[in-house]
Amino acid sequence: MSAASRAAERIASIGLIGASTELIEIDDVSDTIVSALSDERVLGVAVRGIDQGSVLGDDATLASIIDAHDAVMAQTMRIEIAAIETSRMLDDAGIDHRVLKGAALAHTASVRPADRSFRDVDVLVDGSDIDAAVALLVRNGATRAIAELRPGYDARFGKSVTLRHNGIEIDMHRVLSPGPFGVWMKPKELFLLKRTIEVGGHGLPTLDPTDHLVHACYHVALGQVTPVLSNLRDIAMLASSPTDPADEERFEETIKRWRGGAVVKRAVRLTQARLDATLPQFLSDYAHRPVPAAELEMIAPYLDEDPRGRFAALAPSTLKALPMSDRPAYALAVGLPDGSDPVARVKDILRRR
Amino acid sequence: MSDAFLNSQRFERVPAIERSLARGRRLVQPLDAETPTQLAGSAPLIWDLLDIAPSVDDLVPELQSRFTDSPEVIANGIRAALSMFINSSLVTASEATS
Repeated sequence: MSAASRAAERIASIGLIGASTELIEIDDVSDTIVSALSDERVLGVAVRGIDQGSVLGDDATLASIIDAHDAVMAQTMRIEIAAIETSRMLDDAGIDHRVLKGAALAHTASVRPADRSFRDVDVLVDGSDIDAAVALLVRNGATRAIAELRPGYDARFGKSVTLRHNGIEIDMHRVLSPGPFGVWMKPKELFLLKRTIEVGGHGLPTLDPTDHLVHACYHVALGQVTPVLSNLRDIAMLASSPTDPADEERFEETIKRWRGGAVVKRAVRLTQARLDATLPQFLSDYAHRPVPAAELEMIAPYLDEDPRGRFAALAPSTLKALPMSDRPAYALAVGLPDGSDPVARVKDILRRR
Repeated sequence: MSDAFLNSQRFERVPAIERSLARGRRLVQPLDAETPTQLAGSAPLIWDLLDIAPSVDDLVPELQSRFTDSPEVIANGIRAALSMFINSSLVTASEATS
């Protein structure tokens, strides 16, 4: 690991429970620290550290970090407005939804919104509403990134539909993750407890802190082979919030019901490996807790470095996790997608993440 | 924008999103704007105070309690900030009734 990565880890840990309060000197990594902080999406935490005097460096390096944060915030605000517009459209159409990840966590699990940047809009709708939600956005100018494999696939098997509007990516989710763990989760439960955050005069509906923590764990464990520090920090912030704590009992029950023990175990281990933070015991216990072999073996397909390989690897395990009655339709959609040009459709599949 | 005009108006912030930047600066972007406006110096404070002090007359005593400048200097600074808010479509102005 590079010195800049280590410095980024220390910066990403600022303010977390159990983190060192020693000053962070970045003089020796001045040529690479900006890109490390940017890649790990923790420029906002660094800037707060600079303002508070806990991150020290030469003037030019600090100015570069500040400039990079200014630019990222301008882009994040564009995406936040897209999130508000998307939520308004869904509200007007009577489609119940929840804003997920960065657009919500910036206002709920961050010391201040400027700590948390994000690159796309993530919205959860019920599977029965996903076709209507996608059609609504398409009518308002968005375009689908990838065509539906077969009619009914999105509502029945898809993790999410990716749309683009004015250069901004909007992911309309049916579940929180692809593959077998997506099959095992019960996304309707995520609509039972609603929180609303006021942003720009609009009430954005989102998950409650416990469900956000569940999602953060799934995203870290299954979303990327090497998750960025910002996502690890989400877990630490959500797990240790003094003002809006996660419900430990409900978290454990959800993970048990969703068969996600292996997911949380991986998420906790990744978080502990890179952040200088003390996680609450209900969460840190997962690092050493035995998990069923069936869950553990389902993690492997998510760890393919190549996203195209990951989609292909997830198909057999998804098939295995689905009820028998759903397997023929899933196999047909993935193995023989709809459309007149089979070669192009196979390329579509390979492009899927 | 004349001093007389600015002194006679009440200002209301438009719905906008915000982000704090380093060195006390702020980005503010109305929902219908393409790009954010950067506020610096005393502008972020004046922006925050507009909810409770919507006119120059209301703002002067608020800032006087925080800064040592004369009321005239403070009023000039307030008018400069308000002009910028108007030019950036961050506020709407209406004739003060009292």
